[in-house]
Amino acid sequence: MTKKENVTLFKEIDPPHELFSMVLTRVALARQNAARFRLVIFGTIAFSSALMLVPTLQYVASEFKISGFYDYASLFLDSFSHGYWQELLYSLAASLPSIALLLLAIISGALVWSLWHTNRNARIVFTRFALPA
Amino acid sequence: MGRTDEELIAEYLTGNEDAFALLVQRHLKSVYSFAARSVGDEAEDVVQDTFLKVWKNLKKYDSSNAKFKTWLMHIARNTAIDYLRKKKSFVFSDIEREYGDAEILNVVDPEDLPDEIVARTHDALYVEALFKKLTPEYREVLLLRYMNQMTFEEISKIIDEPINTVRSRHHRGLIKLRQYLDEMHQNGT
Repeated sequence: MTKKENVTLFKEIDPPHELFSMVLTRVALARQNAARFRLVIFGTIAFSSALMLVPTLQYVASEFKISGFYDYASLFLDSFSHGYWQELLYSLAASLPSIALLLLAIISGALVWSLWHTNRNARIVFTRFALPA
Repeated sequence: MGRTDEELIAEYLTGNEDAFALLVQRHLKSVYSFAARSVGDEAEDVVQDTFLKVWKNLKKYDSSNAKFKTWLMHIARNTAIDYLRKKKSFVFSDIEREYGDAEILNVVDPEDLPDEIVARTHDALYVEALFKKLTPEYREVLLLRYMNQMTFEEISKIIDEPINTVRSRHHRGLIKLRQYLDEMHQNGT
């Protein structure tokens, strides 16, 4: 590095003492505002998912009844002694109400995911900000 | 050996809240000094807005593009320009007058200017007073070079201008400072 590159024409100025805390407070407030907005969004998704869970479970139960899954299941349990359990296993799998189960998985997944984010954002919103030591 | 800026950012993004506070503490003086000499009274607002924008965009920061300080000063510089525009004290036509000055073109080599200026100005207040007479484009380049000790490449990234433009503004800024010094001594102040 040449001598010229070390020339300092201007010294740095000391900032006001309270500026550091003002910056952190401003960032913390912005963080809380953003978390408040996300809390509303994820809270709504969690609430909606929870509401949809009950009719979805009822739908899954009725689909299981209609598909004949229970009949295949009891036949399957009996079939071990007769040796044709493999064929019944395929029939059992084919009788699964896949669309209903997929719907249940999506709604359950949405509920768990949104609850996790709701909890995370709620902690940010309701935690009192403290300046680092 | 302390943690690097990039390590602090990684720590913050994985949940360590104190890491961001350390980043602010480390760079607060540099950003404030730059803001104070760029916008004056509104320096505190510029500093707060700068770090707020840094926080909002921290996930987008890519250390392979630029060092953190370069990225930070780029945000600080743009925030300062926004404040100057709001105050309507940022006039582009001033640059055209500077570039149109024939005296500048006659100077051979301004490489010795920084040492000369330091040697001729015993009082830092003189440099500050003369510095305020410069247009914003020259001021920011000289600030980043001689206060923040940044290279021309880093300044080029901060102000989004080609490196030759940075070098040109650097030279013209120093030449203007020297002209002001000459005028000052001629006037006996």
